[in-house]
Amino acid sequence: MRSKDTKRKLFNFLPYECRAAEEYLELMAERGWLLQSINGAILKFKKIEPKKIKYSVDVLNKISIFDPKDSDVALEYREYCKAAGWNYVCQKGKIQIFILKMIRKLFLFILMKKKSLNQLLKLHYIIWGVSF
Amino acid sequence: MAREQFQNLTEPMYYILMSLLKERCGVDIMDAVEKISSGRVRVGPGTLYALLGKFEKENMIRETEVQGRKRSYIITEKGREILLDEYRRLIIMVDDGLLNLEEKL
Repeated sequence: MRSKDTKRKLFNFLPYECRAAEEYLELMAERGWLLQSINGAILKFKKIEPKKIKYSVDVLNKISIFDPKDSDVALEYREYCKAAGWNYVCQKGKIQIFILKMIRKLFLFILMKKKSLNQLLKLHYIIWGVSF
Repeated sequence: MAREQFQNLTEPMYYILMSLLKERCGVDIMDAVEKISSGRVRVGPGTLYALLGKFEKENMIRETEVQGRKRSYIITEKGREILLDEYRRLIIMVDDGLLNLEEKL
């Protein structure tokens, strides 16, 4: 029986297409689908309340595509990401996927990307559920 | 001719090395850099992780302690020299700026 709470999508991407993958995952979150896992080119999502989520799709060059999942190097790298507010979601070979959960870190991230004050305010209203 | 590696330090390199004048665990470096630069410089985990690997390979920092997956580092004599060279270079640049730019701005 097909579950209404999970969805599988075919989406293959290469390390140089990380930014496109981030945009795709963020769009899926806005439509109410949160990435759960990746198996090859099959992305598994679970149903959530539609919301803005910031994804980071990152290439960890220190590991090989032949390394097992959750290698020591990958686990160590994830510790750094966790400390910076990025929560690990899943991996696909060298590619590590994270979501930014903490609101303060989300603001800092946007500041780092030099977004305008207007964009910051807009995001603030989206986070707190105030529509324009 | 190609520039020698670490001849000039980038901003994250400079601040990471400065934060390692005191022994620090990898993940604490991010906060230390933010604190030292009064919030002006923030180093992301990707940059930090890659730079720590490079610094260690070049013997500019050394590992002091491993607790589970937490590794602590401290700057080495070589790293200190490179950091001081950069500090002196920056001072010279500021002095040159004072002499040549001050009146024109």
